[in-house]
Amino acid sequence: MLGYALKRIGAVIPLLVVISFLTFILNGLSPMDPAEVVLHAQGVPTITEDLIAATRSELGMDRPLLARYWDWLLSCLQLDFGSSYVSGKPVWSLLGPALMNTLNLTLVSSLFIIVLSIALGIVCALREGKWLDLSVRSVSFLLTSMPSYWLSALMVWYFSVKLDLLPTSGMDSHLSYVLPVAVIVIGYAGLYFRIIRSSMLSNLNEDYVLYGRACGLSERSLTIQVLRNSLQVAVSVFGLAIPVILGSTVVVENIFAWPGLGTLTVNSILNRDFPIIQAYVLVLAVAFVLFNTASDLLNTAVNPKLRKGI
Amino acid sequence: MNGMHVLEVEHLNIWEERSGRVLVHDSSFRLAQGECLAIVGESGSGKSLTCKSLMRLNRTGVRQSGFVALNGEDLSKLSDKEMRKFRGRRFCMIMQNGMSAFDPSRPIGAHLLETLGVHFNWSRAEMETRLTATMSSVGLKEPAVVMRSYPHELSGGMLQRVMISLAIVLEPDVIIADEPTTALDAVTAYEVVEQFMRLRERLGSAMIFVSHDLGAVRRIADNVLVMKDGGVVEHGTTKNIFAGASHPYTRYLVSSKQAMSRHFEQLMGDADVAKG
Ligand SMILES: Nc1ncnc2c1ncn2[C@@H]1O[C@H](COP(=O)(O)OP(=O)(O)OP(=O)(O)O)[C@@H](O)[C@H]1O
Ligand SMILES: [Mg+2]
Repeated sequence: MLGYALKRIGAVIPLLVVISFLTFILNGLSPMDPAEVVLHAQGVPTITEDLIAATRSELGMDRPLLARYWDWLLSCLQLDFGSSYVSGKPVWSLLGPALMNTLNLTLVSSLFIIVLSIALGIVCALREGKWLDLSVRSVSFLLTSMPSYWLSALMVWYFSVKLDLLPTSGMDSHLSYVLPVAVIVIGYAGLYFRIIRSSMLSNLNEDYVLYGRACGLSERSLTIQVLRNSLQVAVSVFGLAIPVILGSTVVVENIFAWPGLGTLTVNSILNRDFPIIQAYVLVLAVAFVLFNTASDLLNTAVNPKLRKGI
Repeated sequence: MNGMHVLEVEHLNIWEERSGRVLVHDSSFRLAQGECLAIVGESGSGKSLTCKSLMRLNRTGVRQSGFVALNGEDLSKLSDKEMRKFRGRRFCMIMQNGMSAFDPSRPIGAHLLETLGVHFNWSRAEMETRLTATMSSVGLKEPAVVMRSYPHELSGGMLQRVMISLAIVLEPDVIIADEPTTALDAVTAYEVVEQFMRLRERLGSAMIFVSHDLGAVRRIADNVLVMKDGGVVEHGTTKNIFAGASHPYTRYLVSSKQAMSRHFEQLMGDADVAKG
C-alpha cells in the first residue's frame, strides 16, 4: 500500500509539470502584448514602441520561452508568482490570504455537504418510495434548481434585512459563514445526496443482501454492509466534489463580498492582471490534482477490489 | 398435520402489489424428508419467486398468499423475527452467482462466522474447526486461505462450494438452490452437482433444485416440477418426466435439451472412469 501510494504520488509530478507549463503559456494567448498590458495597468498615458520594448526586457520577456518557464517554475515553487500588474504587490501576498479564506469557506461547506448528503442519502434509500423519501427529494429538487444568486438575494433579504440576524457580507465573525455556506450547501447537497441514495439502492438490490438475509443475518448488519459499499462511491465522488466546490465559490464570494479567490480573480480578470490569473489557475489545478490523488488513495485503502490490483 | 412432509406448499400465489399482475398462481407441491425436487421452466416462469417466497424473501412490492408449512408449522403465522431465525438454520439458500452473493468488502470468512454466530452459541474456534472440516470435505483446499479471501479472489466454483459447506454446517431441513450451476463452466458445474448429491446423502435434507440443466436434474432429482408463465404445468417423478411427459411443453423441454446433456454426461463419465 505504501509502495502504491509513493508510485501514485510520483505519477502526479509529470502531470503537475504539464499543468504548470500550460498555465505558463496561457499568458501568451492573450491578444495583447503583456508589456502593453503592464503599461496600461500602470496607467501610463502614452505608450510608445520604445517603451514597450524597454518594459519587455525589464520583465525578461525577450528571453527564450523555456528559460522563462524554468525561472518562473522555480520562483513559483517558492510561492513567488511575480507582482500584480495593477498594485505592484507580490501576487502571493494577495493570493495567499484569499486562498485561505476560500479554502475555509470550501471546507466548511464541503463538510456540511458530505454529512448532509450521506445522512439524507441513507435515510431516503432505506425509506425508498415512502413519504419521507419523496418529500426530501422534491424539496431538494426545488432548492437545487434555484440559481445561487437568486437564492442568496432571497436569504440576505430575509435573514439579514428583515430579521437582522446575520451580516449581509464580508467575513467578520463566524456568523458571516452562515449565509454563503448555506447557499453553497443548498446548491450541491441535492446533487450529492442523490448519488449516495442511488448507490445505496443499487447495493440494497444486490445478491449479497438477499443471500445475507437468506442466511438469517440481521437487517442492521446488512445495512452496515450496504453502507460500507456505498461509501466507497462517496469517497471518490467527494474527492472530486471538493475541488469543484473550490472552483465554484466565485459567484457566492462575489455576492457576499467574501475576501477569497473568487472575488480576487474576478477583479483581476476585469483588470487583465495576468500574474494573479495565472497563479489562480495554477493553484486551482494543483488543488484539483492533489484532492483527486488523495481520494484515489483513500479509495484504494477502503476497497479490497482495487487494493488487489496494486 | 402431515408428519410425512418436510415442506408443504398449497395454493401459493404471488403477485405484484402495484399493478396486481399475477406472477405465480396456485402453485402446490410437497417435499418429503430427503427428497429432491427440481423446478424447471423457461426464464421468467416464476422459479426464483417461488423459492424466495418460501423464505418470505420477496421484495417489498411483491406479495404472496397461500399456505407454506415447514414440518407442519405454518410459516405465514411467524413474526419477522421468528422467520429470520428460520432463515439459514431451517432453510438454506444457495445462490446462482457466488461472485455477487458475498459482501465484496469483507473476507468470505466474516460472512460465514457471522451466519454461524446468529444461529449457534459456538465459540469462534469451534466455528472455524467445523467450517474448515466441511470445506475440505467439499474439495476446497486450504480453507484458511479461502476464509481470508475476498469474493473477487475466488472462482465461481469455489464460492459455490463455500455456500455448500456453509449449508452442511447449518444442517437445514430444506436446501433451496436456485440455478446453482448456471454461472459455472460445464466441468465445474458437473463437479458442483456432484457435491450437491453428496450433500443430500450426508444431511438427508430435502432439496429444491432449480435448474436449466436437465442433465443435472436427471442426476439429482427425485421429482420434477415444470413451471410455465407462473403456473405449474406438470409435476411427476423424474423418471416419468424424462420417459414420457404428458404436457407438450415438458416434452419440448426434454427433447431439446436431452441430446446435448446426454453427450456431455458421456464425456464426463469417461473422464471419471479415466481418473478413478
Ligand atoms: N421484484 C419484482 N417485482 C415485479 N415483478 C417481478 C419481480 N421479480 C420478478 N418479477 C417478475 O416475475 C416473473 C418471474 O420471475 P422469476 O425471477 O421468478 O423468474 P425465473 O423463473 O426465476 O426466471 P430465470 O430462469 O430467468 O431465473 C418475471 O416475469 C419477472 O419479471
Ligand atoms: Mg431465477
